[in-house]
Amino acid sequence: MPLLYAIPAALQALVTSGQAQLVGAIIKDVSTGQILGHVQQTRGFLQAMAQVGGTAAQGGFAPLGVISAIQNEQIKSTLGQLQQGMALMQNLQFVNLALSGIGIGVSVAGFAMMNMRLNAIERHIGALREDVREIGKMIRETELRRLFGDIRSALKDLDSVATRNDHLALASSLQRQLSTHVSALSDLLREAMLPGKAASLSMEHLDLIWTLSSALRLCEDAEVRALLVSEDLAHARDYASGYQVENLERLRDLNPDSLARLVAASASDLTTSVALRREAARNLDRIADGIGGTVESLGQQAALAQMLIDGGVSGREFVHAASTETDRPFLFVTPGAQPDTPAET
Amino acid sequence: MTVSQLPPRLDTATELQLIRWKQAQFARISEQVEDALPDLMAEIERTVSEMSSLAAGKAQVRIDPVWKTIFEPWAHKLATSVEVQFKQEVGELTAALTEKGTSKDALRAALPALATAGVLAASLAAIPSVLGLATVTTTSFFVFSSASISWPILAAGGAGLAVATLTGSRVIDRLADRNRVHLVTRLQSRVRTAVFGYGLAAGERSLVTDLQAAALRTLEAQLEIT
Repeated sequence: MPLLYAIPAALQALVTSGQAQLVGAIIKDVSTGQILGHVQQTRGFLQAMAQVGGTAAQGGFAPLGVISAIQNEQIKSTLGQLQQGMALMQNLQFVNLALSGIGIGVSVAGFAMMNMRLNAIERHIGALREDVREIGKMIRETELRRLFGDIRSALKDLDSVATRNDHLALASSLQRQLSTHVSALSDLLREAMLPGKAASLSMEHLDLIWTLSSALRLCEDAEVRALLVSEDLAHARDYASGYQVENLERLRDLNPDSLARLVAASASDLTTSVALRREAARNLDRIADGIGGTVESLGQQAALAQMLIDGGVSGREFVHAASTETDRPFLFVTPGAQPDTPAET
Repeated sequence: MTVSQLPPRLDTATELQLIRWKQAQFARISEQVEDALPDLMAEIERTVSEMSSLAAGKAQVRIDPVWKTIFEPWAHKLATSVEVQFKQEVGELTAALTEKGTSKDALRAALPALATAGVLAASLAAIPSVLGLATVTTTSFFVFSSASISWPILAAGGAGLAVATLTGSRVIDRLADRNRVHLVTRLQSRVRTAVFGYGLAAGERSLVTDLQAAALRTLEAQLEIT
């Protein structure tokens, strides 16, 4: 039973007129709050992102200021060329785009895109000061690089798994690998977020938190995708829900103000410390926004997995369809009654 | 408690909203405190410049009384203005959530998790949870006593002269003797520790963490009485 459609023209008109709004991956009626449908990103969307947003990740990687307002306009302009993109994306924030991706449905980014993000994340590790690279006493840079190497290897296999004959076994194996990486990154991030008895932190430490949380989100998204391809839809739903809860707890434990004051404490005079604290607070606000976005995205992935279960749809076919669609940036997933004649764009 | 008695659970979107609200309030409190700092710095300089040489000498030996005289009125005045602001914010938050249909029971059930702010533990412990707090008292009644600070050695160190630049005041230039300059330096250095906790490990009390804990207590009280 097919579940992916072109976005109905009537729905696009509602979004354009402001009567409906894209909230994460869900299109909602603004006045009633009713869910009108889910949106799934396609390869076409990711190609548009790579044209603009990807350059931010490729070029130097300034993790906490990666998407400027100008770049946002560029992205909107690029999506505008894809017709339906502009109408849907007009209200979306692009803060976490280049490193975290935009959580519109299940991630279908190809290896090239994911590797670009991973490279950008990993390249930044080398830019961190040595004392920051050693996250507590848990892990050293070489171990972190080995972890990223393993993640890269898993992502490469994930890219082709939907079209492989042995997709069930391979996807299952990849899911276990990615689960291990999620666990390792999660431990590191917890260590980085809780400064213990430290009396001061460097600004680079915030970059480290961003780096680890970006890599973690990449792995969580990839794992849910591996579970869909392995047709283990119930586990895809449960893992997405579980990771959503973990990220919510992570956000609850994050005290941006306290971390910002620890960064400010490293300054020797109050004038500088005020400026430092405010800069750190802005950066931490972005980190918190990123984790909040992850919470929303994972909730939507769980809901999507449930819809696939309810619709009797193959997870592998769903991912394959979204991964190969290049003409339209988004496809529409209807929760219940399906349109008689899907509108074409 | 049976299953039927369990309070309704907050939806994820509302919980996210609450967490981000709390984080925004904490950041705003720090900013509000920073904005009030020049007044404190100027008051330190003014007070010391008006002291007799004998009094300045005595204050060098026993600095706590003069610190208390300058710091606590400023802290109370600040706490009152911060409290006015966060009571308004709390009112707007609870009104918005009520309008959205979020039940008070669900909000109350979510509060303990919201208040699990590890680095605020000391301040939360010091500020009692008082039913009806929002209507009967002011933050300045209970916020922060300078006696609660554990002064680290480094806080008496060399940040003082740089601290003075924050005020933009020239009073310090007129301080004739080194004794007064040193006293100003020591008092202004204390500000870093007492107000922001600089030099202390995360989790130790400062004026900022007390004000943040008070904001959480105000939210608790608001939910209890409405």
